Amino acid sequence: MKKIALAVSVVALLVALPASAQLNFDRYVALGDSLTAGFTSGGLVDCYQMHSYPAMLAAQAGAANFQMPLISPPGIPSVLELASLAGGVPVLVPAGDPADAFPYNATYPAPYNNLGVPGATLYNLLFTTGDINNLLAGNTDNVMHDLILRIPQVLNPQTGQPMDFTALVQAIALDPTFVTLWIGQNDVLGAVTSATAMEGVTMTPVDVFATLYPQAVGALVQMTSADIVLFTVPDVTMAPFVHTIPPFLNIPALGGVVPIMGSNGPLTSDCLVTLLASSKLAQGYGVPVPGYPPLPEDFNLATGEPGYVLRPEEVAAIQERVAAYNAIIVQTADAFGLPVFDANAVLADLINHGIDLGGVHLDGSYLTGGLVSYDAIHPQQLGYAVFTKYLVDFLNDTYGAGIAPVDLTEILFDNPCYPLGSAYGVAPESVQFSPEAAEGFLDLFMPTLPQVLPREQEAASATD
Amino acid sequence: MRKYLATAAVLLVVPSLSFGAGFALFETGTRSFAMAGAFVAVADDPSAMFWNPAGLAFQDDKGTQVMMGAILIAPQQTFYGEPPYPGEGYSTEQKDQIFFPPHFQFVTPLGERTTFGFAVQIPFGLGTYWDDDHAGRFISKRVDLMAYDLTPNLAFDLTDNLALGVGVDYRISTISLTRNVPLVDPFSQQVVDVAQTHIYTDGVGNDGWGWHAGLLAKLGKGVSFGLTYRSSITVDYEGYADFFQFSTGNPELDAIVAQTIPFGETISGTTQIEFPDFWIAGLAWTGERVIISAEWGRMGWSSFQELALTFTDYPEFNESIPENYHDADQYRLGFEYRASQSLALQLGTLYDETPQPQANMTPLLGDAARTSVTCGLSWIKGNFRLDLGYEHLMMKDRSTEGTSVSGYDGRYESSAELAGASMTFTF
Repeated sequence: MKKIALAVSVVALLVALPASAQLNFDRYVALGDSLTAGFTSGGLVDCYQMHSYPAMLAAQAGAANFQMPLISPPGIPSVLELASLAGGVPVLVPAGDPADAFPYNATYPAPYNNLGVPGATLYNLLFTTGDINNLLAGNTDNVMHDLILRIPQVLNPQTGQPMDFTALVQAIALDPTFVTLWIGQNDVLGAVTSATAMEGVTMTPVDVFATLYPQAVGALVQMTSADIVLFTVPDVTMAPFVHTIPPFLNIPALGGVVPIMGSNGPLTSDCLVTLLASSKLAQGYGVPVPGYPPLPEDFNLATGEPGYVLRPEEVAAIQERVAAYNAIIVQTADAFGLPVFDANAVLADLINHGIDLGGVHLDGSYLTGGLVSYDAIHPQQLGYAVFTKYLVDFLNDTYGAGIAPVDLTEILFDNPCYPLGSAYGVAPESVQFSPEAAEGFLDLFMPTLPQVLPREQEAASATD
Repeated sequence: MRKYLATAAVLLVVPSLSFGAGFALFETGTRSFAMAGAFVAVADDPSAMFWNPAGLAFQDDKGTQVMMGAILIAPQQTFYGEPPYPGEGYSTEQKDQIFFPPHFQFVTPLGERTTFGFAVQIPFGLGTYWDDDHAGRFISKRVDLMAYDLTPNLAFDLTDNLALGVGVDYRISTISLTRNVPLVDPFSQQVVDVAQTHIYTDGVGNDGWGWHAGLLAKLGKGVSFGLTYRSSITVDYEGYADFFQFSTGNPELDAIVAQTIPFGETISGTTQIEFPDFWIAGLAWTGERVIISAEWGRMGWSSFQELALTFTDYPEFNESIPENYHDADQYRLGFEYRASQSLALQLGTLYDETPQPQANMTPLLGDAARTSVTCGLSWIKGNFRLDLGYEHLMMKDRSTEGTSVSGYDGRYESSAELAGASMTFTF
């Protein structure tokens, strides 16, 4: 809380704009994580960043200056592409060497308008800083925060004392006229990517979320004059990441369809298998025959290897956690009188039912659905554009904002990043991530224990 | 891939239904056409077989009549895109087309109080035809539908002032539809055209039966009342689909598409269309030189709530889609002035509601309420009569306003010019 208090002085130097009945996009700041950053197909790259929902919203609203941490191809991490279709098995690999990627807007002399940090949790939003020099020195322990936040500390102009330049403080320092806040996905996403619902490790405890979320929103409300919109957290169990590979194998020698053998026994039809399991299954894991290793179901704390199976009770626990977060978000919004954009409902409808555009049906199907990118968790450019359409509709309905409706025509027929990637498969249930692709993906979205602190540790940290 | 094909196949059949009132034709005789179809209480020429078959009973003094002719229809439609697709700034026009639904009627007395009539008429038909590369090509590039009715009738003059007419309708229908098949290219993650599909019927066996009945009463002092009911007709279709592959420029993708779509094969499917029933009621006043007629009609499009399509050999293509049509009313007013024994002049106007929900307007049909003004003349010499007529049809500009169920939003501006000619021979 001390850090937040310090930020007040930064903001105090700036002249607050009067509240407006309509939205003012002069200084629009988007806070969030990978979904806000425009993360697509396992990487952060300029051609997709420019189609992130904040960038598209800013363009539709006519924002004059919307700065982003643009990264040249092939992106950081490199976006995925298909290396092979041999045998009808699509294999995804990085499109290039991420060392070739360059953050060419890194010298922009102010915080970015898009402060979405891939992998960021609610805790990170409040307390984590980044240092571009750390990255330039070759350290990759905090890549995304280093790339996007860049400066770890600034001097409080009133006290002369250094203060942490977190994403939240950077947003406040911009004296925003409009803020969107979409945070919380990574407080539970690790339970899906690691296929392990573990309190305090892959899922932020509800009481921690209940403490931190109002603090973040309260800081924005009290220290800015911005209109603020809060987003709900999507049900991460909807992702094609766990809906593409079925919990069974078709092995004619065993009589046809047989359940995958997991480390806790045969999988039932309501088990969810992660996309990363494809490589394991190709190696013979899960074949229900003696001599074949079972498919690991849970996160291995010793080796860091993820699990690959979500049992129904784990799915329920994750969904309950998302519901608890969203209840907190709604309660917080009510307390501060802020509108809530129900991103969870929008994404659920898009993934499950899809949208038709001129006779073209788009939905959440992996590889051919058109909305979800190759990492099976994040949208691709079309998905972000459709999401932005709903966001614009919401803002126009809520504020009478008069934002120009999103035109999806060009992006429907023209992927701005193609042919950055080269080819993708058509047998999604058998897709394979190369070890490099899987590793890059896991580095970003696997849980890291320090990101989730129990309340007492958080409190201690905040008063450092 | 197959879901796109299934959708394509279904939509290719839908347009015949989607035209609603806009696809219904009332041009079964030029004189009644020139009076805006306000003919249910007049019914004094062979086109009575469509408007009110009871009117045949009061024509027995004319002997045997043969009427034939056609109404030329030249529709125009421009589409202006709206977001999210195909967006502001996009516009396209339908290609020029002229349709000429013909009509043929034969009427002959069978006795003092009974008259027989037989008609060939086209109560439904039209088409839309857009550029090959237009933004709605995945919904429809071209559609043609025709419904031919063969209708024998019997009319009885129950009294000197009251007549009843009944008839049977045997309907044969054909459909032809062409559209492109889209695919989200898994290589580029953008939409590409991978094929064109043509779905069609051959007309043989695609038929159905219906009936109609009318009542015409002369109430005195030149006033008459007419009432007609035409039943709905259900046509069972057996259709076919052919596919033509487009190269995407990616041989690998083309090979995958070729494995998924049955190119070089004609697949069969079935569907069913229930054409709407039709109530008409009206009053007319006939003076020495003048006829004034007014009527109301209602087409029962509310029966068209969804359409199911079945592919016998490709059950994964089966699909049912909602249409949600509603009944549509129409109001007609007609006038005729007999200038001399050999010349008569007609005028008329009508207002016709659309049964099509705003959200269901597509390139197959962007329908709207319409207003028409009509005029015509009849030239009579001996046993021959020539009718000429003209209609200017104005359709209300109508936008989907972002509600399009097929995601094709925009505004349709439409109009049509119609001109007809009929010849009647009396023996």
